[in-house]
Amino acid sequence: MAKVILKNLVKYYSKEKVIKNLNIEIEHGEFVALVGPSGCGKTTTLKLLSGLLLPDQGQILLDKEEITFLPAEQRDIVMVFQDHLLFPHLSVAENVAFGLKMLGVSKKIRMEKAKALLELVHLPGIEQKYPGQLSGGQQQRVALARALALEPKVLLLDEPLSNLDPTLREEMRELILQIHRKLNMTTVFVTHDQNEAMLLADKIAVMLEGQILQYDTPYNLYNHPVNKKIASMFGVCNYLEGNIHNNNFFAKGKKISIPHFLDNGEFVACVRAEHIEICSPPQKECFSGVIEDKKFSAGQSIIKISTDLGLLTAVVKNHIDIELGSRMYFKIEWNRVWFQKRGESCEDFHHNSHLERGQQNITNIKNDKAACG
Amino acid sequence: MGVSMDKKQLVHKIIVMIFFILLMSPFLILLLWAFSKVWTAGSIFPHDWGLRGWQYILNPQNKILSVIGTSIFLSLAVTLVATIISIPAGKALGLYDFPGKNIVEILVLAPIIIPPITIGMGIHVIFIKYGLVDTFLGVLLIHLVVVMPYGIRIFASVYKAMGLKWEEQSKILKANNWQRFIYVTLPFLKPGLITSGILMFNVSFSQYFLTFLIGGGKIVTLPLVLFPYINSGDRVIGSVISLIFILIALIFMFIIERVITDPKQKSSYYYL
Amino acid sequence: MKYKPYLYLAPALLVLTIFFLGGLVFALLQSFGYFPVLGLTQFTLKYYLLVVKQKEFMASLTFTLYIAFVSTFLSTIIAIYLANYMVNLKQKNKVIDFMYKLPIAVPHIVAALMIVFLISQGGFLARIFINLGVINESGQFPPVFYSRNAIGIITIYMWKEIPFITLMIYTVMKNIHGKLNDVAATLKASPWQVFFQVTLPLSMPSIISASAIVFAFSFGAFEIPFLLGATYPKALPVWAYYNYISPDLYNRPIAMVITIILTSVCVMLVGLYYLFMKKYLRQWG
Repeated sequence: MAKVILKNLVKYYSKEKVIKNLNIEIEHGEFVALVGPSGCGKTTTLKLLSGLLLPDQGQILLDKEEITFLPAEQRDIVMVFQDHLLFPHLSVAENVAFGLKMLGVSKKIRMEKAKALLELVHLPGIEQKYPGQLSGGQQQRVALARALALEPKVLLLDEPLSNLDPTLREEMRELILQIHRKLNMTTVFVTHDQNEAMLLADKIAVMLEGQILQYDTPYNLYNHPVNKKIASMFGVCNYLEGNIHNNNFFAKGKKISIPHFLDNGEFVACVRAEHIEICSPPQKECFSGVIEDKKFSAGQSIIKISTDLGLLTAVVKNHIDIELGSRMYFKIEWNRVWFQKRGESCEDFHHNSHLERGQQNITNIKNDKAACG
Repeated sequence: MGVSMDKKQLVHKIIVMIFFILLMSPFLILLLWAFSKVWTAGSIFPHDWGLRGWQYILNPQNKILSVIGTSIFLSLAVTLVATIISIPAGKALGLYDFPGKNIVEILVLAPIIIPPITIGMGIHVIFIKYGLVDTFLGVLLIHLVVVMPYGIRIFASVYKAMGLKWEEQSKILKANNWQRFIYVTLPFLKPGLITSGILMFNVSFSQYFLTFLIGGGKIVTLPLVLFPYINSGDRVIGSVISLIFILIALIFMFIIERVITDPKQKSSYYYL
Repeated sequence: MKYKPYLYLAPALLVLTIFFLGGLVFALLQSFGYFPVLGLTQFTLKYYLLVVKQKEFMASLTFTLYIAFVSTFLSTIIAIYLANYMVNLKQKNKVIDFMYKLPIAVPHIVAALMIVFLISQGGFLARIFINLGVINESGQFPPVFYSRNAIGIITIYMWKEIPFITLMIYTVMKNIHGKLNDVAATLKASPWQVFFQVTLPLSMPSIISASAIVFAFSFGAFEIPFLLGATYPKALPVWAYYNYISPDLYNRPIAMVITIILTSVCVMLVGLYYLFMKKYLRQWG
């Protein structure tokens, strides 16, 4: 079993507070992704977990045992770095077996294990090669095998995919997932790519400026983001400003009845691009708009529509041929829209403090009620 | 146009060729002298060839062999001690930021810039006072001062290029302090060991003034023996000693590269 | 964690502080007339004035600067030319690569001996001239050693220093050239323009650093001017040495004054070089 608890962690770099009171609980066997822009403290968090850095405050518990100040080499936690960092002077097998050698495991067992692990990462028979002779994807897989050789309780992955090209990245992602399922190893994965996080993780911790904004399942992050920032991170969002009065939303002279009860006041409606649909044929409640831009991609098109409500971005299916400049009709799935109360904190998107305060201002709308027309 | 380009290139080629002939000609003269028997003034080539100089060197009575021994031993000892001291110092300067780093960097650069004559004459009194004059230890210590800055600077740049990441990676893989140094850091230091080893050995091996001043004629090295031959004395013997001097430097270079370079390594991954 | 770097530095700093700084401080103290062994404990500028007032001082300083400057300047120019030639070679010429590095491994004393055999009045060149009938006897060959023009000494330094500077700047120039040559060429620069507009300015820091080291060395070197220099004026290190070994111990402070002046010039030069570098590097952000 390997349950990890990070409690009230604080870390300073010289005088700057880079981790501000961080709390996460990771259950045994869980795959957790840490997501955030570069410099938000993801990698620092990972290094605190691994023991390469020691926190200034707080605790780290592994299975209820405190490991906060245990040196890295004594923890049952292994990390794979962004650069593969394979030792260039050692063969692939020696690299994979390096950790075991450090622990004094006999050569025979070491080499057997290295062989088995290389098979696990789909690289059989390259034991005698040197890292310089491998491709980028192979190097990263060997690095993974090297980490797994120690049979850690917790596996930490620091952006292991970011240096790979798209096809290799997908392959590696599948491999990581497959190994995780096979070994059921508690895994923490750092990435700046929220899509990658959604694809891989059981739970995602969104980090910004040394804090966790939301720690939740991908489902909840998409459907119930705690604020605009997270809403925009996990998908494209349109923000419509307006007022709510008697359960009607008034925006730009339009009146829309909303399916849930909300207080009267000034609100921002957050409309996901995928929740705007093209109506054909047009229905009563549809808006019309002129197609300003379209980007075609496999699976779906992203279009920009100029409407009475402003410029909206929508994601639509590809089976409708859309012509630039043409007028089309569309509707918004209002039962999936959520509203955020407008206040000073929400007005200023870039204001730092809006994120903390945003949590209180937000009103989530449950979408389990009946859909409206 | 093509013709003029070729002409230009030819001119450069000729200039460079003349340069290299001039650069190499001293070696040829040295070889001629070293293997001549009679070479009277005024004639371009030796009249007779022989091994007179070599016989003189090999004759134990002339003590040249023991001088060669002392020289090699001294410079090896200096290089070894300097390397051991330079590696951690290079690590500190290459990897860490700490108060006073600038001053240390200047202190490490200074012995390369400040003439040895100043340091030697200044410290001479102290060496006399503590009985270090005329001793092997004294010469070794003063050589260390001249040689160490090169080592420290080289190792600092190797450590800087290497960064902390490899040490972190090996820590993650359960290596303790010594294991990290032996299995990970040392292989990365190899090119630095080669360069600094050759450089430090050479600087020590050709050091004249400090050996002369501190060794006081009791510690005799090759430069001291060769010194008088430059403007007087038997040119044949001088040439042979010079040739041996050059050969030892080259052999040391060759050996150190052979010993330190691991033929198994195929990839060139070093900071170079 | 905080004390770690100091611990790593401790042995090196110990050696450098005691033997290097110690030497420097004692030289400085003695130059100010503090010499307890002789019963001199008063600080005085007497010896500085004594040295500066001597006619030989200016002559000696000029002579030393002349040797160092001419040899460094010529070596630098030739080294740049050579490095640029090598950079422009289509593939690495192993013979050239070996030959130009060879003098680096040769000690200065051996270099001196070889050059003496080559260009002294009894040397190889003089013998060729005699046999060609250009001169009748070796005495007619222009003296390059023990002379005030110091051509012999400068030649020895150049023979050692051209390869050294070339080695120091070749890799840098090669990298710059490799990265920017094609770009510059597509922008219609001729090979000479590429050299003067791109390669040379970008490799300036390493060129200056190499020549600063060489200058400091040839300015402070003792052996070669001692053996092959003129009787008057003497190079500063030689002059200092003669004062140092003088049986009259009261000449010791004078020797120290000379070496301190020698050191100050070296330090000033390196200081200037640092300032220049800082400015130069700041331009490029």
